[in-house]
Amino acid sequence: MEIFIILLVLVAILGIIFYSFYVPLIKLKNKVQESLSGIDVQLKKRSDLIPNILGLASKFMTHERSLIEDITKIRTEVQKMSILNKEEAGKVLDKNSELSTKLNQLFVSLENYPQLKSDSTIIQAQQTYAEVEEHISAARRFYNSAVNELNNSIEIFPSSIVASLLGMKKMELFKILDEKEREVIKVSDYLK
Amino acid sequence: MNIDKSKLDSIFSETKKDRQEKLEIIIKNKKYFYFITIIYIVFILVLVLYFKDFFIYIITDSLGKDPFGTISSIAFVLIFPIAALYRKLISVHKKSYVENIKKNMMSIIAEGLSNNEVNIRYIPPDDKEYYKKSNKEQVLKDDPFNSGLIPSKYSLTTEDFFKGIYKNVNFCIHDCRFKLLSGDGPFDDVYFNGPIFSIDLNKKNNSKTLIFSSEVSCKVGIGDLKEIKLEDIDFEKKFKIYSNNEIESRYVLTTSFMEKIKQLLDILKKYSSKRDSITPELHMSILNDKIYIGIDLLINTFLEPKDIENNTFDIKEVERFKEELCLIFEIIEELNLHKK
Repeated sequence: MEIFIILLVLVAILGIIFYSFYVPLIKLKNKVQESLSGIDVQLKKRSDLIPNILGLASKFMTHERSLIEDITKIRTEVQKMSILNKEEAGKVLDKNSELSTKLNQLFVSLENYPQLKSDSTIIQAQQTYAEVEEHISAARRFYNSAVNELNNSIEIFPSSIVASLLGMKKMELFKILDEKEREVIKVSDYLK
Repeated sequence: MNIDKSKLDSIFSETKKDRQEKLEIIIKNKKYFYFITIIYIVFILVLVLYFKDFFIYIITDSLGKDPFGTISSIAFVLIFPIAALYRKLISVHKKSYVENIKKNMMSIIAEGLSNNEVNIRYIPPDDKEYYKKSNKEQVLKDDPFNSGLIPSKYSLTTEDFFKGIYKNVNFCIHDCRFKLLSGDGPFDDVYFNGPIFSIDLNKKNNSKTLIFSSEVSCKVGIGDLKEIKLEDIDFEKKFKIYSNNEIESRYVLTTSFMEKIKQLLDILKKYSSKRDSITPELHMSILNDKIYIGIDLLINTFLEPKDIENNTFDIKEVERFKEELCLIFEIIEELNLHKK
């Protein structure tokens, strides 16, 4: 009987210890999910801005037809996917990075169209776009911070034991996927 | 930015007469106050020496068995409020005297600091006409309360402020002394003593972010705000950050912005050492389209004459004050708030 009680107490203590590590781990996991959905919201915001910008650009930028078509195509693809879907996440980031590069090219090309460049609607659209880009960057930082916290808990003893029991694995930090994004933009390349 | 010192001198001389009257009342009341206080102390000393258990005696003899005891009880109770009344009178007249100086001199200082890039104006606490104009101005006056930096149980004891524009950025400077609502004496619990700057933010923001020096415990009710961890380890050591939206907070608190806040702290340290103040505690809040910066220096910052009784004015104080006002320009430049 005594052994049974001792075993019961031990199990209860172990259960409490397990629970005390389990709860923070789940909270961190949910925080990562929350941060990921934050990125998703910002990417959607940017995606929603694009038709407005393209609508204005297509009226004047006759020489950039292929670029505008590319952006439209990538945007349509991006809209069909979600970063919250684990299988698609990598692809979404790739596509968004591509979209970002193309949009930057479009804005640089604006320099060749003074009439469009000085248009108040396009100036406003550019400002909004820049704001959304900054929000995306902020959302990425939030994600990285959340993932970093989670990874620390997964790797550091003793919460690492609970994490392995739950089958939790280290998550990837957000990196600049496209090498082009890492490069410093050379203005001369666009002025050729 | 040059202040016309001769104009300051002439205004000070012109208004000297108005203040002289107040000054005489202050000096007279001070004399009464000291006289009553000395009598009171002597009276208590004699009573304590005469009756060793005097304090018990005046309570137990409340029925008036001993006439001497009854008289001493009444005197003990009455003299104290008289002394307190004189003390209150001194502080009221002193306040009015200081306000008179401020009202006359600040406008000239503000005028001297204004140029093509800067427009600055002093708003005295009794400028009722100014506050009548619009609710917006009332909001500016209430900036320190709206900043979210001060717990609601504390009240503000100074109400004058500067408002202005620097490189198209609107700003206000409030000299604040927050103390407990119940307190009235010099040793009351003062929570914050220093300037609070409110400056237009160069970004659209819909969140609430509070940034407190790590050394001080956060006494403000943070409500639905959560403590957030940012990437900058050095910044994390120096500040605690609370927010209701992690993405929006990071949108404003970019890595370069955090770097600039750290640099701002260094500027403030240099400034406080000049004023023989303690290491300043920097508190910030980012609320909608404004950034509030509170610098707790434990000293009053707005121009307050030191040598009241001689009715003189030290021009060095004006120079010191000018430096304090120019701090706002340094803050705006340092945090790049003038750049969209």
